[in-house]
Amino acid sequence: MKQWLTRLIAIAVVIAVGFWLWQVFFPSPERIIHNRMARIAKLISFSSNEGNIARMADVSSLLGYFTPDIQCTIDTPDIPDAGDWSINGREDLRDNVVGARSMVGSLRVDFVDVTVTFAPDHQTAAVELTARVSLPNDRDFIVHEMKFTFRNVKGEWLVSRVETVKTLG
Amino acid sequence: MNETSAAKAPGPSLLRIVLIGRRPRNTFVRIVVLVVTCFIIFGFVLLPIRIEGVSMQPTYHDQQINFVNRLAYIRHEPRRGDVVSIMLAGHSIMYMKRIVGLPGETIGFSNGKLLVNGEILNEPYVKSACDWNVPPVTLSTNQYYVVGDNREMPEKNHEKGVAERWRIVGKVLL
Repeated sequence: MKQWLTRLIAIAVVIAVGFWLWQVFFPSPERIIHNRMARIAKLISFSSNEGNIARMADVSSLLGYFTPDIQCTIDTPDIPDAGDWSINGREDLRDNVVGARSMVGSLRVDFVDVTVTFAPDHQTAAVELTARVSLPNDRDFIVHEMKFTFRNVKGEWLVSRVETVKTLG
Repeated sequence: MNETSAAKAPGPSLLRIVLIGRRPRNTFVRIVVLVVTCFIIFGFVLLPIRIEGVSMQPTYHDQQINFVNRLAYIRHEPRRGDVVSIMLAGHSIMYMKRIVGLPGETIGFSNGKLLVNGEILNEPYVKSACDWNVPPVTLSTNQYYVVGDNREMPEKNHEKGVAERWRIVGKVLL
């Protein structure tokens, strides 16, 4: 009885480890998109002690997660002097990201409650999330509901559209 | 003979009694029941929240702990004056606001006074005067107008407006 139980537990452990390894080496599209969102949040965030080369490398890496025709429509009426603005294309995105980095010394971005919904053709996916933007050493923060649209471009999931969602109309 | 040997048999140590009780099996069952009960209550019924920000001052303060009762609106719909939590993309970060407008009503601000269908609403929870002016908006069915109690802050920095019914997660408990 005891030996039987031990074997059962060992089999369960092997199955669990196998499943975990499968997830690591062959992630599902949903897992890939979750990982990409985490990476994008990390690349948007930056600290004041970062060197210029590291910053430019981060910006360059960040652009690689977006399609060349990326469109961003951001409406942030609660941020003073921000209002609504739009970005068209990677170059425009680069200019805005570099500009934003020069305006504030450091920034931390977190994406929480990330929900991925695939289109029926599985070539696009809508990602709904809450973005929390804060300045380190500052207790104030901004939260915004956002929607990212991913597109499968030659097997790679890239962001093709970013927009803010109005929670309170 | 048996009675003598039973009397001599050493009982569980005090440390063991304190840690796992006289009957470990019963203690284990109690722990499992407690964990499951806490998981259900605090995961699905009473959501623990930490308040961040100043928009509900002076009623609620920054860093206060509270709970959201998700069963509050099972038997009736949200009422005016209720402090509710409003979901964004999920339940990790939510807005905490007070309901001031109900479906079908027209809500607006004029010189700092909240107008419901053109009449000034008495708001005893608002302790500071303001000069907000917000054009009136008429709510459709399943829409509520929510706003924070802190009217000292500039109107454009205060998140407020029309919330769809499905976004209202529950009523703030305390």
